[in-house]
Amino acid sequence: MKINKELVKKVAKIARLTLSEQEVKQFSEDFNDILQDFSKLKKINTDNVEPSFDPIAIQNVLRLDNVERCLSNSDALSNTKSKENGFFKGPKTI
Amino acid sequence: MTYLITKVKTKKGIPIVVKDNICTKGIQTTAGSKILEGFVPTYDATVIKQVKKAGCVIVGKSTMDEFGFGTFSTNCAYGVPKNPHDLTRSCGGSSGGVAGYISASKTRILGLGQSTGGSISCPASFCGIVGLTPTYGLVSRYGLIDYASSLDRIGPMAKTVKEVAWLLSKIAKYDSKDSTSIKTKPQDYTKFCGKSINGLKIGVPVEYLNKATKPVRDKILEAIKKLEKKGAKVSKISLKYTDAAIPAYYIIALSEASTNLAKFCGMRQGLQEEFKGNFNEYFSRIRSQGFGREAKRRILLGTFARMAGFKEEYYIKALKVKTLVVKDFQEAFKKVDVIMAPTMPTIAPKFSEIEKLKPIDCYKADALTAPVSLAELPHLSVPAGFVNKMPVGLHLISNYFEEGKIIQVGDAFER
Amino acid sequence: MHLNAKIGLEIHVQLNTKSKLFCTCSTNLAKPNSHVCEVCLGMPGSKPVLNKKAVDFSVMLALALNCKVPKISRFDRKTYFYPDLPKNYQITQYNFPIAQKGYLQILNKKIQIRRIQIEEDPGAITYPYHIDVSKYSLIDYNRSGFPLCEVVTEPDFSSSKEVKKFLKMFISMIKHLGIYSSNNSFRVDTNVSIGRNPRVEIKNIGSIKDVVSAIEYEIYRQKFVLESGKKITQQTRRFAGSTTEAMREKETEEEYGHIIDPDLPPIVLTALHINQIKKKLPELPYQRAKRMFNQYKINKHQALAIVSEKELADFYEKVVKHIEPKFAAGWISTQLLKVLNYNNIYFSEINLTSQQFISFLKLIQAKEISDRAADLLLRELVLKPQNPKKLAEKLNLLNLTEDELSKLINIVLKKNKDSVDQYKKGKTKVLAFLIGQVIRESKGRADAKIVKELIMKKSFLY
Repeated sequence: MKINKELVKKVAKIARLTLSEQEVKQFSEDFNDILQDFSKLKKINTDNVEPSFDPIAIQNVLRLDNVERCLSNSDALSNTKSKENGFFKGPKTI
Repeated sequence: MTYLITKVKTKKGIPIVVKDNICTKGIQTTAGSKILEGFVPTYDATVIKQVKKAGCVIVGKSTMDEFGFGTFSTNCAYGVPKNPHDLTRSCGGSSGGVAGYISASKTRILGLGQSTGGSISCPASFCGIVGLTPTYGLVSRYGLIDYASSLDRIGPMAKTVKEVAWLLSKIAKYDSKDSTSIKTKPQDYTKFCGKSINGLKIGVPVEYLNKATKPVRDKILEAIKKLEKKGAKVSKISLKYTDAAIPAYYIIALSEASTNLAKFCGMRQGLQEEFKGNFNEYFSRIRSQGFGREAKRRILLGTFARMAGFKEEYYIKALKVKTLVVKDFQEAFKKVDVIMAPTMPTIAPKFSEIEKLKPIDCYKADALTAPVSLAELPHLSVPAGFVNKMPVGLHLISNYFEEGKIIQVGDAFER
Repeated sequence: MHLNAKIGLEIHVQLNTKSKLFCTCSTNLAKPNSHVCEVCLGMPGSKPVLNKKAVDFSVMLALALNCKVPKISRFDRKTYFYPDLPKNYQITQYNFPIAQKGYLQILNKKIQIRRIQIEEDPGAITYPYHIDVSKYSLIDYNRSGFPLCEVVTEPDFSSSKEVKKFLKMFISMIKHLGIYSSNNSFRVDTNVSIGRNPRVEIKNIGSIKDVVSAIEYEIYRQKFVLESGKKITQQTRRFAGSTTEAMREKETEEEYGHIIDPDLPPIVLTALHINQIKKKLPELPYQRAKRMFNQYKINKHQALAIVSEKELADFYEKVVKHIEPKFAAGWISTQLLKVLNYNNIYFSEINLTSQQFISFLKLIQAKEISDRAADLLLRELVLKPQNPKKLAEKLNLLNLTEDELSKLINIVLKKNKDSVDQYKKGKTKVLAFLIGQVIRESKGRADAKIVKELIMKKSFLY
C-alpha cells in the first residue's frame, strides 16, 4: 500500500511527534520502501495459524495481595525538576 | 575512544561493562538516548543485583543504538563506538559499546548486553568476541529499559565461552518481579565446557549460507570441518521461513516499541523543559527533540502497524508468521541438536558504507539473527577467524533452555 | 415529544484489595506520591505483576452477574497521552476480557451485561488554581495502578429510574461480595440517546444521584435540541453539578492501537477453578431476600427493599434479634425508606445504629408513642441519631401519662357536654367522636385504646 504524506502526518500526531515537511517527505519514502519489502508477508498462507501472543508458554503468573516496600516521596520525585509540595508538575491539560 | 557513556570509579572485583539500557541504581542510565539524559534509576535491575552478588563491579555504562534501534551502533546519541580491529568500521549493534570495550580491553572484562533482533550476536561477531543470547524468560528483564517486551533478552558477553558460561550461571535465575520469567533450576553452565561433542548432530540451514558473502561462507565451511573433526555430525537443513522473519520481527518489535516509548514525554524523568503550551504540544516538542531519526522512524512504523485498519494486515499477520517461524525451528530440532550458521552475512561494514544504506537495507542486515530472535531461541556467537583482518562470527542455536548444548559446541570450537 | 430513551452504563469499580493491581504499593489513603514505586510510576525498566485477588474478585463479580467466563483472558495496552498516565498507556482488557454476556434483573427487566474487564486506574490530576488559569497541572500517582473492574451494560435502560434501581442493587451486590467497600471509588460513564438519534456520552460521574441527574438533564437537553429544529451530535460531555456540558474538543483523535501486553501472560481459568469460586460465593442480595422471605415470613417487596443496600440488610438482621421480624420489616421498608428518600440520602450515609432503632420500635410496641408521633420521631432520628426516648421527650412526642390524659379527658368531656349527654342517653357511637377529640387535643400523644379505657372509667359518663 502506498504511504502518503497525509498518513505520515496523521501517525505522527498520534505518536506525539512534530515533523518538519522535510522529515514527512523522507519518512514517507522510507515507509514505502520498507512496507514494499514487508508486503512479502501477504504471500504467506496463515489460514488456521494462531497468532503467537505469548512469547513463551506460561500462564497465570499471579502474586498474593500483600503490601510491600514502596519509594519515598523524595525518591519518587528524584528524577524531575518539575515538582511542587510532593506533587509531580505536569503541563496543563486544556 | 567512545565505548562508555558513564564511567564508574573502579573498585575491587570482577570488572563488568553494562549496556546503558540496564538500570543501575545511582548511576545514569540513558538507553543511548537524549530523552533519558540525566536519568538516574532509584533501583537496580535484577541482573545488576545478581552480578554484584557474584562479585562483579561495574566499570561503566556503554554506548548503544538508542533504545536498541540499530544493527551498527550508529544511532547513538552519546558517541559512535569504533571497531577496535579497524577504527573505520562499525562495532555492530546495538550492544556495540559493550562488544567494542571488551574487544579493546587488554585485561579481563565481562559484559552485559541486550538483544531484541540480534544485538548481542551481531557486535560479538563484528568485534571478535563471544556473546550469548539466552532463551527468552531465562534471564530477568526487570530493570531492562524495554525495546520490545516479547523479544528483549539480556545476555552475557566476554572474550571466552567459559567466561560467558560463568556469567550466564549468575543471571539465569527465576525472578518474581518479571512476569515473563521462567521457573528453572539454576545451574552452573561452565560444566558444559571441556566436554566432547562426539556424535552431536549439527544442522546448517542452506538459506543462511546463501545470504552470506563468499569469504564469510568459506569461514563457516572451515568451521564445519573443524567441528566434524571433533566428532560432530554436520548436515544441511532447510528453514523455509527465513525470509519471512525480518518483516515479522520488525512489525512485532516496532509495534511494541512504539508503546514502550510512549512514556518518554518530558515528565517524571529525563529531558524536560518549561511547560509551554498544552500537554499535547509539550509532549510532541520534547519527544521530537529527544528522539533521534531512527527512533522516530520506528515509533511511526510501530504506531502505524497497530492502528485500526492496518492492525490485521500487519501486527496480527506478523504474529501468525511468528508461529510458523517457531514451527520451522521445531521441525529442525527433531533432526538436529544444534543449528549452526554465520552470525552475520558480512564482516563489520565501514561507516562510509553504512551512511549510504537505506533504512530497509539496514533492517535486512539482521537477516540471520531475526529468525532466531523471533523464535525466542538461545543463540551463541563465537569468533570463527578473520576475513580481511576483520572477525567473523559463528552462530550456534539450540532449542529452548538448552544453552548447555551451544556452550558445549562453542567451547569445543574455541579449543 | 415522546421519544424512547436508550441508556447504557460503563461502571468503574475500584476493587477492595490491599495492594495495587500490578505492584505491591498499598491502596490506602496517603500523602501525595507516597504510595508509589517504579512500577506504578511507569519508570523505565519496571514490569507489572498481576494481583491474584483482583482476578478472584473480578471472577466473583462475573459469576454474580451471570456472565460467561472464558477460559483464556489477556491484557492489552491502550496507548494515549495524558499527564496522569505514567506509561502513556493503560493496561486494560480490550480483546479478551475476563467475562462477557451476563445480566442483572431489576424490577421485571433483565439488564444485559456486555462485558467485564480488569484494568488499572491512572493517577489523579489537580490544579494549583482554577483549571482555566493554572499554567501547569499537579499529579498524584498514589491512585495510579489501583485495580478497577469495568462493567459495561447494553443500552437496555429506558429511564433514570431504572438506572437508579440498577445501580443501587449493583452496589449492594458488590458489597455483599466483599469486593468493594464505601472507601473505594465508584465512577460511571453513561451514554444516552433518544429515538434513533446519535448517542451522547457523559463521563466520570461519581455517585448514583449524579448519574440520575445527568441522565435526566441530558434527556431534557436532547429533546430541547430536537424541538429547536437542530440535530443531536455524537459527543462526549461532562457532568457539571446539575447539567451536562460539552468537553472541549480533543484536538487529537485518539487512536488507541491496542496490542496484547507482552509483559503479562494470559489468565487461564479452568472450569474446576471457576466452580470453586462459585461455591465460595457469599450470599448475594437476591438470595438473601429469598432467605429473609422464608425465614422471617416478610413479603417479597419488603425483602427486596431491605437488601437494596447491604448496610440496611445487615441492620435489619441485627434488629430482628430483638424485634418481631414482620413488625420491623414494615417500619424499615416503608417508613424508614420513605424518610431516606425524602431527604435524598442512602441508609449507608446515616449513622443510625441498630440499638437505637430497636429502642425506637420498642417504644411503639410498648405504646409509649403513637404511630403518628413515631413517624415524626423517625424523621428526626434519621438526621440526628440518638437515644430515641430522650429525643421523643425533647420533642414532646411521647404519649401523655395516665394522669395527664385523665385531666385532658376531663377537659374534653366538659367541652363536649352535648355529646356526653347523648352518650348517657344511649348513643354509644358518640364514644368514637369523644375519643377522637381527646386524641386531637393531645396532639397525637395518646393511644386510642387507652383513651377509651380511661373515658369509660369516668364516673360522670354514667
